[in-house]
Amino acid sequence: MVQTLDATFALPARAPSRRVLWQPWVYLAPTLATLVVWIYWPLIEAAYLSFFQWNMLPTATPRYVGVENYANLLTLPEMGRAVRNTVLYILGLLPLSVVLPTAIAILTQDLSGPFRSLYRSLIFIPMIIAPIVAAVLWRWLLNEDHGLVNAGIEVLGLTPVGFLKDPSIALWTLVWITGWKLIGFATLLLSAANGTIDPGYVEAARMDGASRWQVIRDIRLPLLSPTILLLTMMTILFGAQWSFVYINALTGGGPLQSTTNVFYLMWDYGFQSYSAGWSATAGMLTFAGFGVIAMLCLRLMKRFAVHEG
Amino acid sequence: MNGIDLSAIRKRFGETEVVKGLDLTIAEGEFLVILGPSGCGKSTLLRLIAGLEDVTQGRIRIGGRDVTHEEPGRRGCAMVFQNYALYPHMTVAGNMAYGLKVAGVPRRERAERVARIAGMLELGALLDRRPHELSGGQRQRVAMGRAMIRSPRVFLFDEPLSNLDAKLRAQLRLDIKRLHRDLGTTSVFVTHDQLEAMTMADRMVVMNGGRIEQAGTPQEIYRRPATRFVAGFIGAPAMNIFPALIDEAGRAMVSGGWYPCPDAVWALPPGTEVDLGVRPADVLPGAPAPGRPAFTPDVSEDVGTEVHLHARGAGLDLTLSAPAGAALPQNDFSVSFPAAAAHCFAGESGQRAALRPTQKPERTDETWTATSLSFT
Ligand SMILES: Nc1ncnc2c1ncn2[C@@H]1O[C@H](COP(=O)(O)OP(=O)(O)OP(=O)(O)O)[C@@H](O)[C@H]1O
Ligand SMILES: [Mg+2]
Repeated sequence: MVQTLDATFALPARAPSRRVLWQPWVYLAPTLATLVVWIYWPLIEAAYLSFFQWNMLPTATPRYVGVENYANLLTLPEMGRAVRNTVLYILGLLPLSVVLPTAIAILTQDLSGPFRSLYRSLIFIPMIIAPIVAAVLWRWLLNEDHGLVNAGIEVLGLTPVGFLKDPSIALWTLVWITGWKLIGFATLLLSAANGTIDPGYVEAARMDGASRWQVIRDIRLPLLSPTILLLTMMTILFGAQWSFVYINALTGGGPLQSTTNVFYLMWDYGFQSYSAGWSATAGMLTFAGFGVIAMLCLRLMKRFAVHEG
Repeated sequence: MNGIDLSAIRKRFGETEVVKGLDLTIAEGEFLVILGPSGCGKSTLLRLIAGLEDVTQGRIRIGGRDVTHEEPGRRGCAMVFQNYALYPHMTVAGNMAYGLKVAGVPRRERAERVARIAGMLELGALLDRRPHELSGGQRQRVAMGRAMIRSPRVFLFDEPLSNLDAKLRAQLRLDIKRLHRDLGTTSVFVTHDQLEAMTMADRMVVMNGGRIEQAGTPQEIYRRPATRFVAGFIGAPAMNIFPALIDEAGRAMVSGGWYPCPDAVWALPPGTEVDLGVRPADVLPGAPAPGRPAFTPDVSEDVGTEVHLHARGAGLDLTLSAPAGAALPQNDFSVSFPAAAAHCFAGESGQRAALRPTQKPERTDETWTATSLSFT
């Protein structure tokens, strides 16, 4: 844009040519088109659909129902449970995507040679496995009758656990699988951030008499806080979405809807029960909810993140 | 009882030995400057004293106590780093108080001590700022404050002024000297700036390649450099060095049969290869004469207080310096210098050689001044 202006100022005698005016828009067009086609248009469409009842058949015409969809969904116990589960997913994921990786990144910073390579492969392998493959692997591992994990538990003389069958455990199993996939990525980010901390700060703190733990608490953690906050925010905003593929592949929201969350519910309304209106309404509610949360997160991040300046 | 005693210190990083068997005693209250070229192990030595690196061999004692295996925080040393290493997420006050906080000093006392030190360093108005909101000189003073606040037994400085401009450097040099005078804390100051070293040091150590070349007062080191390396390293412009051979009489003869300093008779066997040195200020230009190489003036530099003249002769380069306003040779000239101004370094190691006691009377200051004046 700046260049365009310069060009016009540089040639005051001539009228700004047409080419100069539309040229920037040509460059922006692909990005704008993607934004419009994949984000804004579906958003508007969904907002529109949320006021209609429609079974997704091309032959059927959507019927306008006003705010009835919203009224129904907000009072539906199923929706309440999904919201509660969404919160549980996020809370369960935070230790796996933030706390554990922070600890791993700091504890392994001094590793060298073969140990470093070994630990890296161990931690990063889950990251590169396709989610659906991971889901299948975990289903085998956690199978109640023939799974390796339960075999181990039986060897210890304990009763087998229905990891995916027991309504009080299934959600945590899915949290673990989702988090297991995330640990590598989060550790990678935090290790990189930890590696860029000037060793001079740590040395200065050691001269000041700080113990190993005080160096971590007073120097490393504050300097890692932008990355930690970023990961926390990503987990809050996307954690429940990331678990979708495992819910879909492993439990289908069950048993007794104990593992469903708002994203799965949305998909369920749309593509299982073909009620496009409800699905769109759930989508709009989720959008609004997470929009508010995102804004709060950004504000918190600005307030608390320590920047080196 | 806050001196430092280093005995037979060695430090290896993998295969490379960076400090090669070093003994040094630093007296309580002394301001010791370590000077040396880049990579000679100055910082490493300082970090060994601080405890940020472990010695490979040897013992470190501070105040009579063996601290070789102590943690840095428990050695009673405070360090000012070259890039200051101020904690970026803490305010100036937080930076200064951190050491006290870690030591469990109550908040009220911390605030009092920060205020007192800030007063000494004129940092009072900056206490709530973050390091990135400070100028280089201010950061340097905060780093000083952080070092002072725990009343350490030893200050360690690693080129703390090298990131500042010349004027500020001169100012802070004075400030540090004054602080040292007032506090009397044993200080080790690493630098590769000669002027800094000469002006600040009570005692100076010149290092090269992980070894001490010479230790002594700046005057001793300037006037009687112990090795060829020290002679070439200290002094600007650098000392003139002529390769020479000792003749039967013990005098040094430069190739071509030239005796630049016929009065000096060295306590060395005939045939010894030596380097004969003379400071640019001690060179006496004279009229061209047979048997003496002629030097042709090449470039002259006027630095305000004095003038440096670079000249070339048969295979030899020469630098001569004279007070500003003094007459400099315009045409070819020959040179000589008195025995008192001559330095002679012999052998591989370039150790300083002594003058042989002679029958001839040494040149007195009087005759020296007379000769100096003769050309002005
Ligand atoms: N951690 C390290 N690992 C390997 N080699 C090192 C390490 N620290 C220093 N060295 C080497 O030791 C030598 C001395 O380094 P040192 O930093 O003490 O030099 P210095 O005298 O302070 O130089 P300068 O004036 O440039 O700061 C250098 O050759 C350097 O490469
Ligand atoms: Mg150094």
